[in-house]
Amino acid sequence: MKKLIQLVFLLTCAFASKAQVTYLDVHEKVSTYPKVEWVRGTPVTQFDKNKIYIIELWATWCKPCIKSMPHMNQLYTKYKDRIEFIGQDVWEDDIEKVKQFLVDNKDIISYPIAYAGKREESDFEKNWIKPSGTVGIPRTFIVQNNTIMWITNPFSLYEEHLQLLLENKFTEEAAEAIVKKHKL
Amino acid sequence: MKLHHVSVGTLMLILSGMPTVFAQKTFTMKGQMGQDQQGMISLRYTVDNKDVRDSCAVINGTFSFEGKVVEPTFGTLVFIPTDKSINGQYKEFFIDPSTHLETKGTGNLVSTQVKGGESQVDFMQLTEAYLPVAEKGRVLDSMFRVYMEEEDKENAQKVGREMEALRAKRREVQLAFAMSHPNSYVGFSVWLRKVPGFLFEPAPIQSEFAQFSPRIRNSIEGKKLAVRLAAAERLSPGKMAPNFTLKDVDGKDVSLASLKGQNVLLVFWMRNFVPFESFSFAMNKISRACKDENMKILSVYYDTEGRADWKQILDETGMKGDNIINVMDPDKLQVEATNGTVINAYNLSIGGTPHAYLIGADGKIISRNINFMEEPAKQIKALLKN
Repeated sequence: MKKLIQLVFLLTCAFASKAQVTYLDVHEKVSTYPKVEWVRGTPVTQFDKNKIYIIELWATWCKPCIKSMPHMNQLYTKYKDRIEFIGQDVWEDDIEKVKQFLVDNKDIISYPIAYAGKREESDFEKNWIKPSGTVGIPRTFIVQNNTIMWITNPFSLYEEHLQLLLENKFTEEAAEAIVKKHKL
Repeated sequence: MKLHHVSVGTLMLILSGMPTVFAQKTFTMKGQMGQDQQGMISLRYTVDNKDVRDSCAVINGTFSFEGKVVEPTFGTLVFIPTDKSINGQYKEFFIDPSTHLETKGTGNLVSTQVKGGESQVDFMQLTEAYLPVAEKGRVLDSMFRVYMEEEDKENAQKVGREMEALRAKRREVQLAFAMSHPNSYVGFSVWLRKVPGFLFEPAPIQSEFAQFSPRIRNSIEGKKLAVRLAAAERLSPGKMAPNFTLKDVDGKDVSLASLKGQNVLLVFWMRNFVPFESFSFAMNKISRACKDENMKILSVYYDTEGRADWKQILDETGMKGDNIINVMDPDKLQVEATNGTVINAYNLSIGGTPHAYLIGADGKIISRNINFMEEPAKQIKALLKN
């Protein structure tokens, strides 16, 4: 019994001393997804080296986020078998509000949803929002090969980007060029 | 966009050097509104950067205050009627030392006229010059609100642009008033509002400042500005960056001069603004983006009260790259505040954090205008290339 307590203690220590993420930017490595509550879809805890992830930060009160949803949903519908989409709800106090929002807006948002929890307490705030210097939403992060490939917003994310990712040809420069082409 | 900062009152004394003692002079204020006015009224003004508040009951429309000021200063009255169905009211004016102010009217606070000393006369003139602008502002404001409620973005933006133009117009009125009243505290105080917290370009401000009368230039606020202008001049590009020695995280002495031969990004910061993470993110980004440049980041934490938090903040934000040298020395910073090295030499204030200087390998300042919110690494690389 004493040994077991010791083991639990050691494990707790190991867990508590887990290095905090302090900087999250393009080219940085990521392995762990912060602890969040999964409202819909298969939970992601570790990033799979062989998968592509699109993480879209949003909140029920964020009008531009909502405006971008039909577009994101379209991309999701077309690419869901090849790319992992995560609608990461942030800066919100009430999970029920999020759940209700998903019911009310099922036509424009059908991708997996995670709930970060209260801003001050959430692991996502500590290990994602702050290290990435994020001060506003919507904000979109693209992860491939355990690396942050690009940080953008849903209005600047196009199918061509997803194609580049799938062809393993994605670079920040190529991504910016696509945006430029569309916004001219 | 500059980093938004929140001020920390208690540090102001240390950072503004020795507190100066000025002779305070008494003023009195007597108010008479309509006999039916009852409630609470509060008076607010500042004396040497410190907020002063006083309040008293309004009985049958009358109230009175007494206070002390050093120089003519802006003041406000807020009246909260006992009858909760009536909105609170607001009045602005100028308080002159050793004068008596009379606030008289037959209705509520808005109906009153304030009579006082020479600054109040100036202030009433300025208010009159504002009237057309203020009236149009009220109209635009209500239009804007309606459009926002109707989610009529196009018209809201149009009104928004008109409001912006009106603000510029308001500025023009203020500046015209200031320049035509060079001996007026009112003119000086409205002009002073346009002077930025961190003086990147002191020359145009210096030449406008020179147009004020000696009385104004030698006032408390005038002298403070003169100190800031002199510092900005001393610290302009091409000048040698003042040397200093502070302690790093291991307690070892690090001097700026010891980094000669390398470019230095000298950053003074404290954790007193939001969003702080944008700053630490920028520091980390610069550290990585410039790892192949001949450059060190000398990161000076200058919160003289926050010594216990320093290492914790560094841990949390990871501002510890190989090219970052973190230094602080609370005791020394405080001593030097009076001796005039680090804090005075760099004219550090609570506001305008972070203060950053790009210094060349020769020790001369290249730029003091690095914007941490706009791709700072790119700015630095471009500056180093030239």
